[in-house]
Amino acid sequence: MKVEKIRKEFPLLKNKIVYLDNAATTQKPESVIAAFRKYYESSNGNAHRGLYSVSQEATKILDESRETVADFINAEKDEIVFTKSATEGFNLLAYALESEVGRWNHVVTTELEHHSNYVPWQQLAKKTQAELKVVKYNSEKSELDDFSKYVTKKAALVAFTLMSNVTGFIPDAKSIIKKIREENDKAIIVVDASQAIAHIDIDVKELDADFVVFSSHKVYGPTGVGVVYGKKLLLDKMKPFLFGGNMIQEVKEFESTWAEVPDKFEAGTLDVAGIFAFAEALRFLNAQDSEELRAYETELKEYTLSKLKEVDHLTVLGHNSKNYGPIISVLITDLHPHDLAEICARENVCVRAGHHCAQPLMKSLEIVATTRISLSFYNEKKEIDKFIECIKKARKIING
Amino acid sequence: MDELYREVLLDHYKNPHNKGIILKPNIHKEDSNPLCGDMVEIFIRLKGEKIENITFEGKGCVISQTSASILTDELKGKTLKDVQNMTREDLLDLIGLQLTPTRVKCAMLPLSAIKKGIIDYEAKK
Repeated sequence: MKVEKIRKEFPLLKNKIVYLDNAATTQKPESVIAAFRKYYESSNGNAHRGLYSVSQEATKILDESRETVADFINAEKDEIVFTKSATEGFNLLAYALESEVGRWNHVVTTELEHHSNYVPWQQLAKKTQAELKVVKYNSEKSELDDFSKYVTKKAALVAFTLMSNVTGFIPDAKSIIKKIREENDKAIIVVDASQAIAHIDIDVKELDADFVVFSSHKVYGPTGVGVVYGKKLLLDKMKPFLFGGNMIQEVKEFESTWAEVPDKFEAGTLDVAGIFAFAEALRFLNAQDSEELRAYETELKEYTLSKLKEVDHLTVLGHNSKNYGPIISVLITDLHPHDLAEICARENVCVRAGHHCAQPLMKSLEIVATTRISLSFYNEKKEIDKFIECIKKARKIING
Repeated sequence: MDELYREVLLDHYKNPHNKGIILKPNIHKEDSNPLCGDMVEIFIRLKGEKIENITFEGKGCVISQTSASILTDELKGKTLKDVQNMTREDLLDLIGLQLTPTRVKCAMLPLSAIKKGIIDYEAKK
């Protein structure tokens, strides 16, 4: 693959920055940045409100963008709800699905989750007095425990990630979902695609989860836009999350009725410019050869792992099978992640240190923090080499 | 080379001052910075209102552990009131570093642990 060519599309990468924190947020191609200017210069009106041209234009752009997002994951247009982030998406679900959970029920999530797909369920269980079941992460095998041990007829809801933001582990979602359905066809299944969306093809029809949540900024779109895909029947049944403008069918003095899905869940003025720019990011990706991008990301990941193997006193979390995305967390016995990340930062190498908003996993692994590098198709092998040099440099500075 | 990791700091990191525990301390507080996993545990023995001895246990990055080492040196003989009046700027002056906001949290961890410990101690009195 011609990395130099694709890098040119990303203005920020021209700043001699080695950006290896793509699991936190991705950089944006020129077309995404330009989309904001284009929108505000020619199409800015409040969608759904005015009869004049720019409002009509904004409505059209919102509608078309929704279709682009739906197509990207093989969903229907009215199954796509826009939020401000994936986190808001999970909170929307935890709130709107409350009536589906009773105190005799179980709510199931896993140790592998980002806090955004953990805390809303933990709090939902508390509120409804349901029992929270947490699928363990087996650190020896580097995989999630068998879901069948946790999912019984009592499960009202099961939430898990399609790709760990710490280790890059990719659970076998299709077979997990199939097994859950066989055991309990009423359980609502929520998956977190925040990391997966940038690295694996997602077809919601094939996957058969009830809800898929992700955000724009982790897949080359702008911040401020999240997506909840939901099966239409469930979305129709759910109560709204926020009240106010746009989500109304009729307001009487003491009663109100709600608009149809997705409007019911989109109270207030949406970030239409951001949604338009997000659709532009997906158009950018659609224009690439996705197989080539994926193959290159895998090649980069393998290269990184081979280079890391050469470093003393370094452990990679997981990555003992092919079921991993290009997200790699390392532990180095004589270097605290914060010190390593700081010394990397001084060399303009962006890596992440910390618990990565996954404290249940950190506890389970009995660690407090890792240093994480997460790759994109715009990264180069020489950038990995630079990171390896930084490890050596940090070791020299700190340990002499 | 590096201001942040200059010799004097690394010396504190490799050979921390006042590391260890005090049996039956008047003030004992553990605090952590969940963001990066730094942890400190503070032990203080008082003589009247003054800090007679102060030690710490902990693990974490260079900044948090060095801050604990330098700060515990500084606080011996000071009163609890002196500690409570100590600001973030005082601490950063003491360590002599320009830090980014994320790293300020690392540096502040020992001081915030000591302040929390004093609050607990005062409440019990």
